[in-house]
Amino acid sequence: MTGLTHSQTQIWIGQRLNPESPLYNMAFGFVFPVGLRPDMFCEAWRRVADGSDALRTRIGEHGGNATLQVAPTARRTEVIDFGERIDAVGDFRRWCRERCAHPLPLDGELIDSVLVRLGDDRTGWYLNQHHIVTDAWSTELLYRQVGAEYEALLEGDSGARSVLSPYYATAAAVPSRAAERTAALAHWRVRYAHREGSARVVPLYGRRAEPVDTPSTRLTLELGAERSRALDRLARQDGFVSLSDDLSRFALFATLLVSWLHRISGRTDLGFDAPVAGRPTPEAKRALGVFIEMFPFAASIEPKDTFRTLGARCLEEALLFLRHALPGMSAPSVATASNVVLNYFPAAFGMFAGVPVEADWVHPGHGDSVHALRLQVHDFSGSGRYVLHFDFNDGVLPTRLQHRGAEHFEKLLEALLDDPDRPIASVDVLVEDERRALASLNATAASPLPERSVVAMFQAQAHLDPDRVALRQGDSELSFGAVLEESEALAASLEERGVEPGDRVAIVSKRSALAVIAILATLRARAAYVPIEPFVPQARLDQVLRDSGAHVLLVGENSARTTTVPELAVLSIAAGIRAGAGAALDRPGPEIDELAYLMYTSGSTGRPKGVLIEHGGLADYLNWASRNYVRGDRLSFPLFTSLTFDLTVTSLFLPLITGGTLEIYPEPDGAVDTALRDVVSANAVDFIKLTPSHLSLLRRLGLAGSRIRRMVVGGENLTTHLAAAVSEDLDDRIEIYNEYGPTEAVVGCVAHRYDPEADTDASVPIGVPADHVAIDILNEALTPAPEGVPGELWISRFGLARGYHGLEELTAERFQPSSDGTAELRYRTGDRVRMVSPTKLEYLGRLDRQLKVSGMRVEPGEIEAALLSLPRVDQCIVLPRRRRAPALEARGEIRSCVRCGLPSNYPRAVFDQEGVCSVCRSYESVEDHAQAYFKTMDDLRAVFDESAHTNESSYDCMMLYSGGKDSTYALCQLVEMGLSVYAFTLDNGFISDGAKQNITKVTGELGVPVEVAKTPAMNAIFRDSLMRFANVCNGCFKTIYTLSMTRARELSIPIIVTGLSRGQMFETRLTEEMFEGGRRSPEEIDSAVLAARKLYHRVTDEVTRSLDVTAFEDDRIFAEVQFVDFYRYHDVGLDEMLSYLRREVPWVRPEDTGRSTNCLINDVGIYVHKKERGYHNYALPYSWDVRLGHKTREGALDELNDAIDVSYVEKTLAEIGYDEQRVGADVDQTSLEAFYVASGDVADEELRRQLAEQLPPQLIPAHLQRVDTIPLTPSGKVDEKALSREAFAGRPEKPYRAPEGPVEEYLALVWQEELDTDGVGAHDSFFELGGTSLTAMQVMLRLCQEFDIDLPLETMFSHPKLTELARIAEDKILTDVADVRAADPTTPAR
Amino acid sequence: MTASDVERRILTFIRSELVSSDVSINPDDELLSGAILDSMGVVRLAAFVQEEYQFKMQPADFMIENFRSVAVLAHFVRKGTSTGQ
Repeated sequence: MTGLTHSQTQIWIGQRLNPESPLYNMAFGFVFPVGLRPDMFCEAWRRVADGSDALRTRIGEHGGNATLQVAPTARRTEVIDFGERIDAVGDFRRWCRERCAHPLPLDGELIDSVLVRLGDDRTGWYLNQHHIVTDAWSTELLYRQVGAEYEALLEGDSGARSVLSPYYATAAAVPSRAAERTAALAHWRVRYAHREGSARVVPLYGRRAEPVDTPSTRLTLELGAERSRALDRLARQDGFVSLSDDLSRFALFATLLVSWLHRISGRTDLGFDAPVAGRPTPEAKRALGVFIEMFPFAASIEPKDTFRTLGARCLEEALLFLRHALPGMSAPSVATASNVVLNYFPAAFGMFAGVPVEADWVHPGHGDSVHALRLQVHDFSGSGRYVLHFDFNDGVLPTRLQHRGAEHFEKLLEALLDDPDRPIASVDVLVEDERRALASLNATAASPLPERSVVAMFQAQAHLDPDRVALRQGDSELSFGAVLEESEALAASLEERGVEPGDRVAIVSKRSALAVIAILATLRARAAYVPIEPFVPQARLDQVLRDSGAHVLLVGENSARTTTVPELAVLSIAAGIRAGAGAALDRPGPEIDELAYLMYTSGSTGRPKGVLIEHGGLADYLNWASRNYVRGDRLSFPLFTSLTFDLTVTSLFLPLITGGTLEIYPEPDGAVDTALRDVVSANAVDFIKLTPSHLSLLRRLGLAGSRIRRMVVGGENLTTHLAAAVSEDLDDRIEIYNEYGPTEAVVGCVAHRYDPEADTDASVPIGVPADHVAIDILNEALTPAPEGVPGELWISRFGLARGYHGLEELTAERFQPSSDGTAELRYRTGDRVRMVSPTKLEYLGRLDRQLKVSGMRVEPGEIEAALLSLPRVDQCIVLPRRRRAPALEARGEIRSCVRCGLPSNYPRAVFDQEGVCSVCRSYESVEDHAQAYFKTMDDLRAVFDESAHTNESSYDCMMLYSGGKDSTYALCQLVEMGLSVYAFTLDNGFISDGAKQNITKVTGELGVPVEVAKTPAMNAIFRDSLMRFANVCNGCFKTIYTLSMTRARELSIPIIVTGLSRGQMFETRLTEEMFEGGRRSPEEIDSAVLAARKLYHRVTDEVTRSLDVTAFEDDRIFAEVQFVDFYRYHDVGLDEMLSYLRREVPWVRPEDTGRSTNCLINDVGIYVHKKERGYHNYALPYSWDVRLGHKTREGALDELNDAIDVSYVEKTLAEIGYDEQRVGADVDQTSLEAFYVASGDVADEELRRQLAEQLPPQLIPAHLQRVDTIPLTPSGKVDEKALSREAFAGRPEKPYRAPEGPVEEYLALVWQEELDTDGVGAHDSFFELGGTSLTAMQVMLRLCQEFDIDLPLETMFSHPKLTELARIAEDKILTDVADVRAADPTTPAR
Repeated sequence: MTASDVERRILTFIRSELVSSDVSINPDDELLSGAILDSMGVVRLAAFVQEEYQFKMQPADFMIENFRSVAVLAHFVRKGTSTGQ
């Protein structure tokens, strides 16, 4: 016996997954308006069923595989009698459903036929078959055959009339041409590959849940005669009509389904699965059994599509679908199956022996769990009326949304019938209860509108309680009375300077009491304040001053800011207060409809746009925030965020109008605003408003013992993970509000109080509209989006922004009249949101290209415009770069090399049977040759003698001195040699006290001058180093090298001596392969090391950005200052070194670092490295120390296993401003990456410098990547995905070409191993894939060894592309062969 | 290429690939309404003639009218190839 057919196998698998579920019952309840004769019916059934191998099938199981048996006879028809019942037909229907709710076990009878007498003139027939032996075609054929036999029996015909084909033989013999199969395979491969991306699951009403269970609800929509006829007519119209009515109708229903899926998911790339009969031949058409197969149907929808234009595409797809749906070609799997099925049945159950029938398809209450929806379309009764069944899996949509789904479908169907040329996006599908829900959400007018401006509210507080402290900064305080007095005085000075109501006053000041007074004074003078960052580039300052048309520039204390903008008075705030003291201001305060502030946000056109906010909006927001957040309490608020950020408005004004206190935390003079740290250490506030990024940092800084009880989070997406963690930190004694609001809609306009119990989705909802705010969620055709479906948020509110200053067109575009016909404007936010429940909004991100970087709104267009303004940049695009997913910590037991202790979680560590690692083995084989690289003290003496000839400095050398044992010992030895030494130390801010004392004492004792260098950029360098290498040492080392070389050159010192141990030399400069076979002379190795050092200094990173690296632009510095590694010339054991140090100098082993290091930030690097890379960053260097006898294996293992104080690490990370959540992933991290096409030579540094002249630091892309071209999609848009992918993988945009030939293939293999990556192509460039100079040399060594050629190790630095390098190697191989041939005439020439 | 050549090739394809060889069809038989071919068969037939005679059918050519019978289809194919599509 043969096995199951292709179609049967799919069903068998599905049933095995859900053994108890009746999901494959294909049951019908037929009612005939006559009394059929049971005896004849049973005989007719017997004739047909016994003649069908499919219906006699039973399926067993053996060893996990299905086994097939075909019984000699089929199950008989049962006969029962409902004739005496009052509602016989109704009872029959109910009985059918009940009977159908039980599965037909695979190894039992797979069919169930029951004839039910429903009275004298009515008969019911219940026919249920397991899908594994039937499909719709088969059911209809069975029905017809039984009818024919019954009719024959009635007429006295005794012979069977069945002309059925056998199932299994027919299914096995279905023909198709090889060429057709090849084309079909290609078609389905593309369709299935598409599914493996995101297109598999269409989120119905935003529900992404994958059903796991089979219970399903059937909702039925009967179209009725009129709408069915209209559909049929439409199916014959131009654009819809095709080869056959069935095909046209199928395409039409597909069009409707795609339209509906689009409208209820917001997706444009859509698809579903549909069955194909699979009966191409007359034989197959005459066989009972299952032939259908499911194939994928793909459709995409464009914003402008009408039903007709989409219909044309669906028809095209339907033609391809049918053409390629050859039997046996489907490859359904859970990974590629759509969650939506369209089942269009063209067949109808006709007359049964001349008797009409009423056919009811009985739903078993279950369906395949892969399918969230099966849309069944049929007219089984052949009445010309379509019946639509929506079989919804109950695990996906709640009942409410199931019903709404069917209603929305009906709305679209009616729109199609009404006007097929109507844009699909413009059909309003909302039903009545949705409209009611939206209306009640927007019923926010209960509280009174504001009557007083913020100035009046502040004055009221000041009169009420003049002595209460209003502002506090450190030790100094200002009372409400004093603030009022000084702001009145400054306002008088402004009036004196000619400031009129409606004018703008720019304020550039650090956060201070003066800045607050300046803002109040400006408002009091009825002018609008224009806040400007205190440290913006001059060009930006001038631009904002010019754009805003400011009349006066108020500058804060110690600010020497001035401007070239003509006719602009510059006034010091303090001087203004003094000048206006005692002067009376006649002018009353501002009216509610006057301008309060003008705030600039990033603009897409290349210049920032100024948002104009009136007093009404400001007061309305503050009133709401006061009611919602302050509730009559006197709270203390921190001022620690930028005054130019409208998030700050909340904390700035709330205390002034509610009688609270504003605690002021000024920004330091550096680039990084670290005031949050001061807020934490002062612990003086009850309320804080901040961004999620800030909040994450706040957590790291420590919330334990914090006074904060109310927290408003805004500016970017708040993850539930973060909110829950904060709530837990504070034992749930904290109110966390997630507040949403674009600057244009005044600070905050939608808010939600976080509920740890209820809020469990990934993001905390943004909640409900604030007072006097109404929202709409609209699609691109400005039609409302149903619940759960993403759309753009439109906001109307009292005091909505007046618009953009001087940008009428943009204002008209973003602020449009409401659809309700009132004059009220609503603001188009550009934000994607959806209703997650009838009463909760969720923020989903930006619709346009605008990004949020650390809470700042950033328009890539603005940065692009700046880049394009640079002389050599021809083309560019700025894209967000998302945080790389952190690597998981290595699992499993960790072994260590029995010799050196290298742990098995070190990448590419391989252990042999004896437990020795590959590095030890490899070193063992080259140890003798490596020894030749090391030299003697005489050699060192020679180096100094040589340099003495030309040395103009009073020092023989500079010693890089860390205070550790190695460099101390080396320093002593140099002094003993009689050399004049200049010691150089980097204070990275984390040097242990013990090490510091050693440095002072030892240099004092030796009489050596010591310079301790520092850089304000150190923390930025640590952050960068952590981002790039997941450690702190790389950044620190490069800083030392950069600063010391520059300094040595200044002092004309020709030699820098390092105290690198031999282990560190191997870790950072050498590899064991360099010594392979002793082929390379020490000079060759030195030349390679030098080349690597040049490259090292020219790789762009935070060091090259922050430090002066102009000296490294050419090669001279490398000739003028040479490096000498002391321990290359001197070998000393650990014990001897320590006893020397004890004997000769006042050196004490530092005890405050907990390990053999001088640096307190080391643990941070180790912690991050282990977390992100899965292993200890000291694993390799320590193994070298052991290998070279400078550390014992046990000592190394002890240090590698040291416990790390996580709270110290977290505190330190917060201190250096590195967001450890990068690892924990509770904040969406985005940085900016610019891709540009340039002509001629452009250095990244130069671009960065030029950009810094135009843009604030937050807008300068973290990554600048030069490309040859910007890749485009087929439709001519920038292929952002391709670029992002390249960026993510660190690859250039070149098309992939597989490596060809032995050299390229070998190289690709080696790169993959060395770089721990895969898919290396011929166009890839080594350094762009993350290669370092050391790995580059490693690759060169392996290449030379493999092909037995000699190439300079530095070849890769000049030829980093795989093809180039391979070509050079090939040339070398060829010339070597030619040389051999020339030297040996016996080699035959070709 | 004569009309009868084209008809013959189409008939051969239908007999060998779309219906069983024992079914008899004549050039003038109704293909679709006569239940000789289902929609899928017609689509495959359309693919076959395009491939065989190297021309491309436009979406609007997928009309029942062009596939009514083998004779009609052959006529359509000759027209399609002569316009140099």
